[in-house]
Amino acid sequence: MLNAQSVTVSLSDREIVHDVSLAIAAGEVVALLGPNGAGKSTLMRALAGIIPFAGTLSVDGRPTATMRAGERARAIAYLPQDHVVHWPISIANLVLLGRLPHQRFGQAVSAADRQAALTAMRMMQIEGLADRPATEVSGGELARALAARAIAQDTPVIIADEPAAGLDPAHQIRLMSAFRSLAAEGKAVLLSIHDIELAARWSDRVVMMSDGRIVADGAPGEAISAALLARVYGIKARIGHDECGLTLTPLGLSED
Amino acid sequence: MNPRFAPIVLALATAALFMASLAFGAAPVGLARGIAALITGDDPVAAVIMREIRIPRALLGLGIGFSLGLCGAALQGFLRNPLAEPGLIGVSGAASFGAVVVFYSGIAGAFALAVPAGALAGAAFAVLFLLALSFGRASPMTLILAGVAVTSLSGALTALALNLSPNPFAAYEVIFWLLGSLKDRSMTDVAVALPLMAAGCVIVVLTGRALDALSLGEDAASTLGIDLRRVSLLLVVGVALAVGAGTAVSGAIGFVGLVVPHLLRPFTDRRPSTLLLASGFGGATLLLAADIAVRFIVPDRELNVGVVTALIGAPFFLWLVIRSRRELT
Repeated sequence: MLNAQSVTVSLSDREIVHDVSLAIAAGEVVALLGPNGAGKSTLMRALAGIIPFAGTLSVDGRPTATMRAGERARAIAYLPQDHVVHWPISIANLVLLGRLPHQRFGQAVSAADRQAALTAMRMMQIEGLADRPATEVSGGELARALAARAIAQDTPVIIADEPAAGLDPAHQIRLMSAFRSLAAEGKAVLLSIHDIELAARWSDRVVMMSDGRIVADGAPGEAISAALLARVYGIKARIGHDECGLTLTPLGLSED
Repeated sequence: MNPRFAPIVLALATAALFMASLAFGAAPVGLARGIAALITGDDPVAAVIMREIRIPRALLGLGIGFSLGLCGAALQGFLRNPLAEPGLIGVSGAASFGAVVVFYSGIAGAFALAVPAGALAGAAFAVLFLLALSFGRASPMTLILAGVAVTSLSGALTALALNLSPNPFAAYEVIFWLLGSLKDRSMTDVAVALPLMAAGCVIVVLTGRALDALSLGEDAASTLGIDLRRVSLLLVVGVALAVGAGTAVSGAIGFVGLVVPHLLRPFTDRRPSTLLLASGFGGATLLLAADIAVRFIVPDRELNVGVVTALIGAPFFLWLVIRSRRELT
């Protein structure tokens, strides 16, 4: 579904992401892991079309370079890391913004738009907040509303930058299972995450980045090893496997 | 109140004040007599008063007020800052300076439209500068800073022109013009300014969807298919046409574009796009009302409407600052 080849991203003349190739199939949830400053956000912003990059990117076989802005917005949805809403618009109107790429100029909000927004709000369990101003709900509620906005965009590819940050465990699970069910509908999901156990439990594949390069890519149980964590994060950790998936106990820093 | 009603209510208020603006003036000509005179042609004095004085004045009040309210709302949405106003991108300052050059050089008396032409040239220069700057990837912040630079340079050059003024009367003429007024404008002024303002307003209204998307920040907006460069281009050109043309015929009228979107935001659903029309009609309502008020406040020495809007606007601005400071602490 999503196919990135030799993606290199530079910000103010400094190369942040070096020659990264990444393919995500329809139905697949891929977790992007890596320490702070590894280039995860930069890679995601490049794939989402926000910053320019060298290399090629295609969605469903179609190169994004040939897509118009609106077409691209119907192919890739992007959920930014920071939770920004500048005006006290209602949660319902916020989620409906995700439908913009599907609306022609001057066209009123259609029944299909409302339905998509409502479905997304139900998935994130925020339908009760529909009329509340976005600037007055709690941080976790806003995070879910913004996720619902990206889901309402109804694109084959969803890229989410730390969508689980700031959510309580129940809502983290709800969010991850929402991504799973979107993947089950045939979408490709790429999300960055700091919680390695959460990533391992809910994703089909983990991709580990370090210093702008992919250093591991595979099924969670195989890709994540104590040696990799020591090399990438500089931590000593005990990794176990139980019926729920992978467990990780950080023991300390490698140099200790 | 249902947020959908705000633009309708304000449009009705604008229509009522437009008629009131036609009805009141120094001469004792009422609305019925004036309109009858225009239709029948039996009352030449009343017809001249309507055609030469009141209709141009009411039309300019409507057009300029609408432009200021609309552009203020659009720029607040674009910059995601409730303190933005149409003068911020430097067009009003540059237009004022263009007019001052015309006064100063003595071209003002040469032909009827010399002052508006000079002001439009000033506004055009400001726009070319801003466009050249945003040809690269200019952020809204760059646009604000460039606008501030243009405004202060225009202000400094205006002060220089006043400093070097050949005689006090020329300086007085410039200062009086800078205060902003809708008095004694002709239908020729209307013919020059109104089409430009209308074109500018249409261009600005086209950015509504993009402004809504920008509520989520620039990154999210661009992934919703919004081309940020195109939006800033449309806004710079639209605001320059609407506000530049207004300044060209009326001088600088401050604070309408700042105050009106603020006052009206709570009566809308707070989306930048729904605020646009409401704020346009709100601006027209405010300017028409202020322009009627100046005819009565000091009857024998009519105040400039720009003075009145600034007198209302400045304390309001201060109140905004104090309130936002309270919210921060």
